[in-house]
Amino acid sequence: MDVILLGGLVRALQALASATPTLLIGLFIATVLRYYLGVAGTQRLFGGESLRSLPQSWLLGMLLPVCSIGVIPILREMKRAGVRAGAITAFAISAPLFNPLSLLYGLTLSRPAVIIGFALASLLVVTALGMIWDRFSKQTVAPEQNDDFKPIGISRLFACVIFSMRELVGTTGLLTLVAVSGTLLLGMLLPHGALQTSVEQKDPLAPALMTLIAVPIYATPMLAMSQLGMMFAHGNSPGAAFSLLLLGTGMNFATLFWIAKNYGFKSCCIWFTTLVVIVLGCAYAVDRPLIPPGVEPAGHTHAFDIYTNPFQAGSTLTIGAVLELLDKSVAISEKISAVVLAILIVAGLCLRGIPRHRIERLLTSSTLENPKTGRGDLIVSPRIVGLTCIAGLVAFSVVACYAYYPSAEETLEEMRVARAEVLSGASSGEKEHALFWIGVWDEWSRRLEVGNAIRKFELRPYQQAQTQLLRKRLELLEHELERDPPKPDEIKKVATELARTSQRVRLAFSE
Amino acid sequence: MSELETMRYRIASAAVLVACLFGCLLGCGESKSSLHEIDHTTPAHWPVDLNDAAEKMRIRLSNLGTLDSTHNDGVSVDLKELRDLVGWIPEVAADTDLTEQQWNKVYEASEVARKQMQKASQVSPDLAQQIESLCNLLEESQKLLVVHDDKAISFSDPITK
Repeated sequence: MDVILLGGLVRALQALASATPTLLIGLFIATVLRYYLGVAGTQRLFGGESLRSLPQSWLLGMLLPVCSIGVIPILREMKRAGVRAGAITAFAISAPLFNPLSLLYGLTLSRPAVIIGFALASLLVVTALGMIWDRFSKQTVAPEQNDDFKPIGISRLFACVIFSMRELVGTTGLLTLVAVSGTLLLGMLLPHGALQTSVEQKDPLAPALMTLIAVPIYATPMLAMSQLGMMFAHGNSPGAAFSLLLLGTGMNFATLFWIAKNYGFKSCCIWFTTLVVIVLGCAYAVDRPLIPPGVEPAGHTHAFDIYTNPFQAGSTLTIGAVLELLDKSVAISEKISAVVLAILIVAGLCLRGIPRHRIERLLTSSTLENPKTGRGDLIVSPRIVGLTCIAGLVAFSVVACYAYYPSAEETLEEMRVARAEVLSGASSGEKEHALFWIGVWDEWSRRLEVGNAIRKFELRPYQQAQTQLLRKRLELLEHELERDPPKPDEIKKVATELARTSQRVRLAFSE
Repeated sequence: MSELETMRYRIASAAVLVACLFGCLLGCGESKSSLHEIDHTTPAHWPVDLNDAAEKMRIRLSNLGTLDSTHNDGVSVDLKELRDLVGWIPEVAADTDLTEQQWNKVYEASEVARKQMQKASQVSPDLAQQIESLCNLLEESQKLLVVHDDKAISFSDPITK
């Protein structure tokens, strides 16, 4: 019981932590839509009533760095502004699928063309889905509220922060919990490592099974991309990979709940059934043609261990071990975002007793119609400020790519540290330590490729061959370390080969 | 929300839960006690080095030339393994101390052969000649490696490397 409950809780907390950075970004975009672009600007941003609204929403979704939880406050604002139902769902599905960071990561996988193909296929899916749903949902596009609260200057910034606080302790916060409930459920129901052999290349049920599992899953774009990488490296079913991307990353329980609440149960059923039918159709269509040539199926994958219980049945769990696992799996950026969100939530709880109209009255001392400007103050149209914010966010994503994928020199230094930790852990028998650092090393090897490619605009076949070989060796060492009972001679042999490959990687990327 | 709507939500939630449980029954077994239960298997014809790759390719090539074409099984196995071997060469070569320049030669030759083999249902004399040249290149490359053997990296001192 402890293992089941704690395992599910750990998975839910990990999901919650990984959602925090993109939830903050989602709240930021929602405030821009509400207080800067307004109803008319938001409608125009998403293509209004024109034919281009679906592809435009898809493109915007591809550029903005949000996940299927971070997209929730944006969807609420889109609905409030009266954006077409089809465009809302096109954005809801496509925004979490890719962002500039994950797309670049995807290009380091063994078959980058497949990732580009998946991105284009997602455009087809959201366009078809949006058109069908627009026809059947019969929603009016009238905005829900008037834009009568229009503070400017510092008051508007306060309004943005207060809006975020209220969202976090209100509907968005609740929907976030609904979203991670799927991960909690899977963590409790699926035993440790239970999905390792479920999505094999030749298994005709693999795309269907993945479709079923993917619905409750919450996955960030980066996590999904790394899972796709592992699936292709292990020769798993490409159709299952497509289902995972579209349904695992693109939606979760909260998406369904929100759609049902806002558009009615019948519309939600039509939308969900259409989505599943289109995704399954595409998944089975690409399953055979996209089988990677020359990849020997490994017969299993660890890509989905993250959705199963992290603890083996019958293990004795201590609070210390659980906390250590959480601490190791939560990145520093997620911890910082969690602290910011926690502050906003506490402040939001304090504000709950104060009626909204009293706060709005306080913040409307200076409005667009009645500005109180100081010396040197310039009134800029909210739309210009809003569009600058959105463009700035896209520019920030591009800059973030360079920060996330540093230069080869920096990355090789990080890899040197990971290498020392892995090899010393393996030689001294510290299995858990070595296993943790194997993941870190693997991650840096991918960043090495992207960092080199975005700076030098090339990635030579020799460099690719060496990094792929390094990751293969890392996986072999992982397996040797997991072997029960361990075989020290085998560990030593694999580690020696790994050390050789590591040196070749360094040479390949050093100029 | 009306009572009917509330009921529909409950039914939908229950349906999703049942679907998840069904998924578990379909795809999952018991908890894996060790991740090594499912091993990565190395194919029997995986070459240990470049010489071995050349030798294994020559054997398959020779079998394809001498076997009667009516022996479909024998021919297809040799052809499949020859395709595998040609496809694995860049990785086998990358796992040696060949310089990037030396590796590029092997890579380019193997890529040309691999692309031709993908389309071919049998090995034409031209393709056989190409594979033979590739085998020669592999053997020459292996000779270059002898001088590197003394520089083997020791696992006993991993941190300083």
